[in-house]
Amino acid sequence: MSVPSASDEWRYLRAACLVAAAIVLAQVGGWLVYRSVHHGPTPLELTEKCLRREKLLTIESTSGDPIAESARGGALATRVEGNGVHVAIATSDTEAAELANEYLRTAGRQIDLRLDVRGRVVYVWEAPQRPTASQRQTMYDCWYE
Amino acid sequence: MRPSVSRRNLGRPITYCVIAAVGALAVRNAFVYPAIAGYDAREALDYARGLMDGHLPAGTGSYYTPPGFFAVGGVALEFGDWLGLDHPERVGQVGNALAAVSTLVLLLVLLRLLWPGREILHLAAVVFFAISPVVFKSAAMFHPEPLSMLLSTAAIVLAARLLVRPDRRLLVAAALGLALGLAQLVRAWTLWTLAVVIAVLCVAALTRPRERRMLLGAIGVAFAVAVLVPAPWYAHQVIQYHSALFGQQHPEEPVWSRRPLGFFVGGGLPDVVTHPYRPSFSRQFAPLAYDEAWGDYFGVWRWGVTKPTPTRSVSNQLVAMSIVGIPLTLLAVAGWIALLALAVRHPGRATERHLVALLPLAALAGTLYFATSYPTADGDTIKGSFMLTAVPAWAACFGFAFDGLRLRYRRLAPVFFLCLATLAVVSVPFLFAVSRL
Repeated sequence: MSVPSASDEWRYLRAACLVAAAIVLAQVGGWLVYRSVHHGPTPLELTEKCLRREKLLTIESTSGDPIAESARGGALATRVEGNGVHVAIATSDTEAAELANEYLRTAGRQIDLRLDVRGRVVYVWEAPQRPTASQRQTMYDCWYE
Repeated sequence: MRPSVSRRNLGRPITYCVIAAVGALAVRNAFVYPAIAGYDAREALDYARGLMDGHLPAGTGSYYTPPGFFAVGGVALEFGDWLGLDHPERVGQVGNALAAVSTLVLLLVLLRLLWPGREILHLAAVVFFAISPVVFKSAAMFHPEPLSMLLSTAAIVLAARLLVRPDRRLLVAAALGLALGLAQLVRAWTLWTLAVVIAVLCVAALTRPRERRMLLGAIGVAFAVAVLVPAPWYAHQVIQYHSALFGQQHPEEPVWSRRPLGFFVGGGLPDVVTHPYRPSFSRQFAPLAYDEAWGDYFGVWRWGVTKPTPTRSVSNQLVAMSIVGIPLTLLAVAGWIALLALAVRHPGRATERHLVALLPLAALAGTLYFATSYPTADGDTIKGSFMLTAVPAWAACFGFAFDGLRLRYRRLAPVFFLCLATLAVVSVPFLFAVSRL
């Protein structure tokens, strides 16, 4: 019964460290290349497609809502089970928080129940009370950021 | 002149202190963490209660999970009732905490068998295990995984003992078979431990001509006991559900086409660090498994399954844990690849170490197969706890790599220790369970 010597162990460990580093480099490199060449559908397009195709909802514009219109990722409006909702898609968490603050500042605390932020997406519901779980879930099912 | 206390001698008391701290924290968490917030908690509690009433779940809940843990958990619930506890499931949670700390003790025993005298390797491996959130999360829950990890590790220790020490081999083989059999009665995942143990013992029998007869006898005894112990359970499942393991329906298409290529190669960058929680990268294997192991992807530990996203402060904690996990994971992977390469190139050398090299491979393959066979949109079939039985082996791989680097670059040793201590200090707050999610 023999045991590998320390130098033997080191030879293998050094090679293994190089393999691990190569995996990390491949991942980071692959991501950078993908990001620079891939121009897939935007979160707004994906959300719109999902709401139309999977939820069979009608998509409208958010005209008259300057805060939603200012979202860098775009905005859309729809109606779920009779309750209208504006969807503003931010491009960062900070922007999403700014949009939500802007709504709170403009409409005051009465918008609290109608406002919902999920990641980089801000939802503002029309009905004065909190949206139902089913209405909210419908929108979450088509959540992209 | 008094001899100076060497770093090697210091390693042992620090290791014991870490184990004691893990025990105290795990038991504390068991008394704080709300059992109902854990993975599949309702099903687990119903199963345990039902078993005490004398019946198994009939095609509902966790009916495909063997009853080993639920039998123990059911007795714990009864005991909790008898004590008049408001939450009798706490007794079962404390049992799981003790299972986790017992696994850590067994890990130390294993390391001493595989790398005797390398106290720093032992310490590094123990620290890795001690700061793994996946261990603390599971240990606080009312769930079968910690018990399956304990039994799987006991089997690995017994297999290593069988290969390292020639005395009382048949007795050890019988104990090994019993541990493997009992492990299967707790969780089907431990089948990969059985496969690894038998494969390594066969390699030893092939490469050690002088011990071959004795080893073949030991393999026969261990395998027979490991098959006989869970046989009644498998027979029951086949009769009831036409499947011994997981009688659930899966998509009609072949296994290899059930997931896109991105599922296997996607790294989830940069969200794996910046947004390490659901629903980010829910269709990619590696980042989900990584963040579930080092943080709280699904929201069972720091935030809630009913919440859409964690609060900003929780999100910051998750990001910190995701960063902490990077050097620890990379070093563990490097150690694992090195041990795997040594096992392939020199199968007859230090065969007992192959146990540690092969267990993560088998666990990864098994979890990947399960996640591919039963695809879900939310990634529910890629829970970090599914690979809990492999955590002691990952810890050993980490210890091996850490000690290898330290021995090679002795002047940088203080820097390595400082880095490890810093990572541990940053991790500790996350290991404390909270009472409300």
